[in-house]
Amino acid sequence: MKGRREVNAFVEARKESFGSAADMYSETAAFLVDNGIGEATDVLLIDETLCVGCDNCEKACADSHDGLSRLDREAGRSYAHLHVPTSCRHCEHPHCMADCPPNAIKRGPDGEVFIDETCIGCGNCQRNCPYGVIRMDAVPPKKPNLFSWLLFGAGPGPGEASFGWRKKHADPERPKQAIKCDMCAGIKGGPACVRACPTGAAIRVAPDKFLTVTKLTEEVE
Amino acid sequence: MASLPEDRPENRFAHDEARRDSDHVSFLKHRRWRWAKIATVLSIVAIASYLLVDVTPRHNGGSWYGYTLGTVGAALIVWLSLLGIRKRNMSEGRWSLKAWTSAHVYLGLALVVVATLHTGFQLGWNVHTLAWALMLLVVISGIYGIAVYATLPKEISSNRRQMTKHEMLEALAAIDRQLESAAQPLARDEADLVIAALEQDPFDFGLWTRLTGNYRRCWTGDALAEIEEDDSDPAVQKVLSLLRKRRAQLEQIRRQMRLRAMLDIWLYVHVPVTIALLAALTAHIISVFYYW
Repeated sequence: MKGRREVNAFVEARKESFGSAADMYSETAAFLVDNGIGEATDVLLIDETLCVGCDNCEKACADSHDGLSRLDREAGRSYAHLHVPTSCRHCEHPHCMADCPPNAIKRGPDGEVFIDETCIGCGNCQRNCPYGVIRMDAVPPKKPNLFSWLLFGAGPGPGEASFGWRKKHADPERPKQAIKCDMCAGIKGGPACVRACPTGAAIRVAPDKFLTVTKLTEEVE
Repeated sequence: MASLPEDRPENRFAHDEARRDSDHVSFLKHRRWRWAKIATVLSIVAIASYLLVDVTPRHNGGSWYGYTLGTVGAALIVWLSLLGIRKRNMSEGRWSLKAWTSAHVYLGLALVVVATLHTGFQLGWNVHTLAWALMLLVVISGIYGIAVYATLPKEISSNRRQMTKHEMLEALAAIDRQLESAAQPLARDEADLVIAALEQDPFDFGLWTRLTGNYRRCWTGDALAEIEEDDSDPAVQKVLSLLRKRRAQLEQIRRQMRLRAMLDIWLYVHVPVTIALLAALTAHIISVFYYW
């Protein structure tokens, strides 16, 4: 009975903005499917009712992966304050894998789709990805450490260095390669973007939770 | 007939909710208010012990009880200020910045109780009270921060309508290009109004204007007010329509800038005053032990 009352209360609360609660769920579900969630095995979602736009997720991503971010928080589609940033969905049948000459794109033991060091930088995967989550870039040089920046202002600071700094300090011989989210495989503690979110806006979602993730936990408690 | 398990949820809704990722919860309610509860207990223990412990002649920072509260307070201040390092140091391991933020918020509030009781309400014009006052200023700015973090993200999300900063500025640039060519057939004085609007930096009006959103000296608005509607002249109609579009686009960007400024401005108090607090706290501790 208590559960039923909760459903009724939820329907009452939402009926002004949607025809029915079922509409809200099905429309949110339709939005998620349109944005590639239907074929995803793991996806980063951002709850925009919690996101303060600090971009710490992007900075953490860059600092965990050779100084280049694999996610664009602001870009991507949103619906009902649920935002799908430009970040790999780790598709069930990855489009990027379809035409990789050295066969450098593989699936890891935890379901992550990753690009290994044999990448020749041809850019096929970038062109084939329907979600625009693969970028081509050369690995930048190592930055001075955090305390040198904090105390003496050395280097570009946390996160991805500016294009100017990277060009100035980069090895010109270093080729561009394809880079994308690897779900922080091999990094203890799991995805850096989620760990580094100060407000709990960044969440990673597996298929069994795609359609129940549309609400904040506190709304049903 | 197969029997149902005893703990079967009443309906699918409850069942699905139970399966949901418990991580999808804000920093304020992290782990069912864990840090709010810990901070409340810390505050209650501090207040109760303050009332129960008999310090002669009266409570002060120099008694054994005062030193205990002072040590707890100083340790809290140092730990709370380490959030700035934690946030930027992307090390491996099972830590979560959300948990840190949650603890930072609630322990920061409890610090007001601990530090105030440490003073024994003996305040004056000295370096000791300076440290207490700076601590209070940091906490007050932090309370503003909690309020805006809890309320503004939704407004920012609604205002940006899926556009990135770059896209908003590109949309404005596209309108400006159209406006420039559409204004060519206008009379001299009307064309001057459009040129003035296009040449003005529409965002450089200072901090106060950014925070209030009151752009009275915006020449796009002036041009709209001064160019008269003329149904017989399609060129004027086109320019007016583009100026309205420009005003709407400017309003979206300015609202975004206003909300972002409100979301960030408290950090310009919170962080520098924390550094000042650490300096004052050091002076307070050194002077107390020097004049033991």
